[in-house]
Amino acid sequence: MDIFVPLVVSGIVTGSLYFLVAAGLVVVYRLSRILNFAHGSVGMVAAYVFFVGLWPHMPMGLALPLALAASAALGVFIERFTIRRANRQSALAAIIVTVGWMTLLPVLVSNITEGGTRVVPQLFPKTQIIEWGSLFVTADQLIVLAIAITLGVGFWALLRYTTIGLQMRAVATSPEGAALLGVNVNFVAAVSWGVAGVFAGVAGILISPFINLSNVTLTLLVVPGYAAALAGGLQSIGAAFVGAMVVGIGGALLRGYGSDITGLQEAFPFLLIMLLLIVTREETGVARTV
Amino acid sequence: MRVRSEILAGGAALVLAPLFLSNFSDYLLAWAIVSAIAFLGLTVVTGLGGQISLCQASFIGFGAFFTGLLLRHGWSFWLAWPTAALLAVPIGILVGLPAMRLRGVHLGVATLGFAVFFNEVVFRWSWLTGGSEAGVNFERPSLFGFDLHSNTRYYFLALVVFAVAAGLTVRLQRSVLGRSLRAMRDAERGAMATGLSIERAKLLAFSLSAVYGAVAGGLLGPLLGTVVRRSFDPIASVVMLALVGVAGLASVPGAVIAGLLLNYLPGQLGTVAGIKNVDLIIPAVMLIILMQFAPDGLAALPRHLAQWAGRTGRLAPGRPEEALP
Repeated sequence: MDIFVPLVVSGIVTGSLYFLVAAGLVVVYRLSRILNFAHGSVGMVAAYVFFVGLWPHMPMGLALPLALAASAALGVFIERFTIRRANRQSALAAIIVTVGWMTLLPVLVSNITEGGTRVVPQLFPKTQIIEWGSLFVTADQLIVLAIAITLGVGFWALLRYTTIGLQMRAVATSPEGAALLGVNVNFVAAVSWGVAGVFAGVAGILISPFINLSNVTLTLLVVPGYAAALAGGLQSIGAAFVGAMVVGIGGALLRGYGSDITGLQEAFPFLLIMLLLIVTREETGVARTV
Repeated sequence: MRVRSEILAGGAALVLAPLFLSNFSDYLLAWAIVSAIAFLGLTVVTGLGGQISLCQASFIGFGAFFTGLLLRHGWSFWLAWPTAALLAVPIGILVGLPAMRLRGVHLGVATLGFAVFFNEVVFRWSWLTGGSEAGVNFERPSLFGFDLHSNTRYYFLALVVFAVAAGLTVRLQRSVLGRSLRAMRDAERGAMATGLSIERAKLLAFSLSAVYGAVAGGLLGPLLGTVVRRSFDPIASVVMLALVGVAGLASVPGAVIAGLLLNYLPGQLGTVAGIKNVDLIIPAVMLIILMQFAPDGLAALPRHLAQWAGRTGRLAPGRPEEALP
């Protein structure tokens, strides 16, 4: 019982990080019906741009927006110049293009930065804020959770209250219908990839202090992120948050109670994806059934 | 008939190549052909069935490590290798199981997760892989007293196995099953409406690709001498899909080209113009570009160019079709 609460706390933090990955996947999936394998690698590029390229040379207040702008631009670039045309060939071609980016980006980053995993400095202080029995919560954990919730709510507000948000919802419901009403579907698609790029960038930058900067590990974040998105039924940002908490907390509990089985935590997202794909019906997930 | 003669020429080139190549080149060529066997698995699942598969390297690893395990228990290679290949069938079915639910797109991530699972969990089991990063050692076998130690002889063993696997793949492409896979790829709901058994076709495609992978893995161990866990990490599987996408997703020549791109060219080229990993950068860039106008890859490029030259202007609509030999 002693370790249960701390495990849940660390699971919530991991879940917040997975949510940031999942949110971008859901946005792109909803608007383009494309599963973006390159999502993790876009976040990886943002993390390297921030930790290796910018932050050592300038204050965080400047480096962070620049790194996020870079990952948004990368997302828009991938959509505009490689996805849009391939998607007219077939959806499979477009998905294989994302696999191409997933191959290319880690190699380019490894070439430019001379490879290897790096230890990066903490972004936020690890000061202990709450201490209550076996429960310890540090400042950086709370900040990560707050950022995830803020970005999630912010994106929800964008969808709900702005014109581009309304257009995005229209395209998600019916691309043809939206186009008939005069919505510039291509522009909306580009915006969605840009938003996804920002989510991926924030995720990559926030995760790196926890797991070190690694071009491969960050690229493979697409797996737990997708498990979270799928657990949320790939429907909405809110459902993705619930899904991400399931993946984060579930993985943490497995690590705590099943520690004698190696790699159980790494395997959990895969096992969850398999279970969800086999058990649930199309386009539903844990969030829909509970 | 024109295509058939091209195939004959390609086959002759593969048979005669060792006459003109050095011992090291034979080694690389054998490696490429062993990989081509595994690439045939992607030809079936992704090229024919339209399912993204990102765990082919895990199947190779399973074949290699399981063959090694049986060899350590005193089995003969000629018994251990087919056994490992047969045991890949249930694993392929397991991976393909979610494909039964009409959610092909999502399955791609499950296969990637499977690759993570195998790399992080299964390939760390000490009873299977020795548990250390040093890997598992193999010796080259001999067949009925015929010594297969030399690279050239081992290359011909790989080539014979590849020829059998390729023949099987071509037969599959032309069979009812192959046609249902193709129908499923192009119009899943439409194929179901005609009464085709999509589920069976998908499961068979996945188990066949697992067998191809494991067969290649069993051959890979003795070829390389030592097999390490790192070679079968998820990124290796991703690279495999990227390469076969460049080379030609749905054709046997595509599998050979992909094998050469993966194992022959890098060993021959080293670094080009001082750029590292150029063997990965060029195919990845080519893949992204090819998917824009010719989703069936390099193997079908001559056909595309012929069409292009024959028409006034635009390329034909690029539905991925088989470059049937």
